Amino acid sequence: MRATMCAEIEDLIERETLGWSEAERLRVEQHLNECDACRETLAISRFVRDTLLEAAGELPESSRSRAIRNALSMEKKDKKRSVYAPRRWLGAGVATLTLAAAAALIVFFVSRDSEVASTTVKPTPHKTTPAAASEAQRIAQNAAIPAQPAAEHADEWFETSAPEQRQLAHAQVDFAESTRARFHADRRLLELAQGRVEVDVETAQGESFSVQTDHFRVEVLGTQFTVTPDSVSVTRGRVQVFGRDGSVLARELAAGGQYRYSATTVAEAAARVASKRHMNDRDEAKPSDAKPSDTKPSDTKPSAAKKSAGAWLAEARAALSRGDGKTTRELVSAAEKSASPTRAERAEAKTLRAEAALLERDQLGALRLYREVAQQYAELSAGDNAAFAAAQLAKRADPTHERELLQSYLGRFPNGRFRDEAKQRLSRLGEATPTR
Amino acid sequence: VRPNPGTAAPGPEQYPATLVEACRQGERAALAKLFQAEAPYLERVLSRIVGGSSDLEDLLQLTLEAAIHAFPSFRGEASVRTWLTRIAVRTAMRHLRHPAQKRRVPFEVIEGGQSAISASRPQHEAEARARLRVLYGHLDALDDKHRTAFVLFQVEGRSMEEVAALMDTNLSTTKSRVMWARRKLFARLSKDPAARAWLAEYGGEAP
Repeated sequence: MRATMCAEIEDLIERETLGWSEAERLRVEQHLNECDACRETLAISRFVRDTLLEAAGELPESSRSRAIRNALSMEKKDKKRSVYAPRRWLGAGVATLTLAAAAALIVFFVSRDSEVASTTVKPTPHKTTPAAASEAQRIAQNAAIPAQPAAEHADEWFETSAPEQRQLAHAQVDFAESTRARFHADRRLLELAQGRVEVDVETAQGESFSVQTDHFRVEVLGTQFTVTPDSVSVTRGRVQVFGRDGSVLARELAAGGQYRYSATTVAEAAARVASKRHMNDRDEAKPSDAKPSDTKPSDTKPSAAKKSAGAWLAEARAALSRGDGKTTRELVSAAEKSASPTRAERAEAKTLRAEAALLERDQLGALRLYREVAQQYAELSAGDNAAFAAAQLAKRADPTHERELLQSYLGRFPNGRFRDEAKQRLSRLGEATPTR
Repeated sequence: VRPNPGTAAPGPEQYPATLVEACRQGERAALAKLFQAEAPYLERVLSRIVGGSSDLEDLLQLTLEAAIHAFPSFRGEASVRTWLTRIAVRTAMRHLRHPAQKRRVPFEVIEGGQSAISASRPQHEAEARARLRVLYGHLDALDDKHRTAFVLFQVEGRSMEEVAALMDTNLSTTKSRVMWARRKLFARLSKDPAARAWLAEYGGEAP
């Protein structure tokens, strides 16, 4: 009886925004006098509503006008293009990839017996069965990682319901909430299926440590970095990122740098490789008097063809990961000149310029560009990343400004992604600096 | 029991048929006029759903681009505002679907922007921002569809039928989404010590 009443009152609480009749109001009041649970529900409901009602943000007039102007200019330049069309294509691609990833995950978890029974934190050591060992070998082959013989070794499963810190081999790993991963002690390989891990690898050991997701593998000797299934951010040191087929996705990712997996980028990279092969095949079939310029692939040069800023930037990222700074800059210029790049795209363009400068050992140039991104795009995550990257870079390029940049980072981004690292570094600087 | 604060959803704007027709024809002046009038409302809807304003400008631009493209097929069965809201909801949900794009930057970073916080209760600004941070931290744990349905129903004051129409789904799915979102969010909030202190102000138990 009481439960039925509570269900009715809960329904009324849910509909409070639509208004209560006087009779309903009286019924609620009467019930709340004797039911703590429903009183609690009403309190939470009102807290949520009042707080969210205050959340309505509006843009400054200049930003609003720019958004309207950009939308209208996009319409003028590209009237026939459907805004949804590329995304529909992308959606189909992502759906296909998701299905493939889901199938892979199902196979991936075959070797996981019924050991993951609860959602509490639990490393679950278990012996690898022959079937699981063969599956592990297959996964390793797919990931272009030298497969170990189906040896008797313990794999550890982790599934967390709250943040948890573990020492795995020579690395300290912080598992975020709702993270699922498997650690292969023999290969010092952590396979991340879901969630986020922050890894701090002990340099002194001189041994490698890898984190692998469905999309890529990160390999390091000594560094601190964070991995989610789709991204890697480096806090200290350098890492390399490899695709599942062993291809290099990011040649050298430095502190403050981030690699983000994008199905589009990978698809475009695959298409470029295919196109290059096709052109090479075609050129081989050509008469020998063909001019050298005829055989030059045109896909790395900005052409007059109409392309979105996003497409140019995807190519620029690929060029950067190949270590080609000059082409990166050319592609970034093309992105900046394309039709109505968004603010996020403009921020990314400048960040890529900074990373290209870093690649060419122009540390002061990179520092200047990172600082510009941090100042001009403070509201974007690119601004957060750039501000911390600038502080990290200052350690090498301009040590006198490191403290100032770290303080500026914390002032500008008090809840930034790197706040803890910035505070730690500042505290270390404080200890090292003599008091005057 | 406190008085009902009323619904948050504003009434639909009425525009002259000639203006709407000009927008259908893609006339820039007409589109610009309509967008200028509707942009603040769309910004509020977008910012409530995504819970931060770092990408608000981009999201607004994407919403307007989609509206320009779709205007020739606008039949006028719903008001222009409802139709634009539907596009904004889709844009916001697409944004939420990408974890990498989930924004962690709180509201105060919009330089020169306005938020209801500073306008309504400047003395509680810091606390209001803290509450928002905590609440959006918990909202981030919800599925994008559950979260959007919940915000549209609970905060925008839309009826279940309207939420279903805005999200292109049926009524029972919408009810289920709102219910699961509430249960999950409420369970998280009731265990959060920071939230408990604020809940006491609303008649909940003190921590």
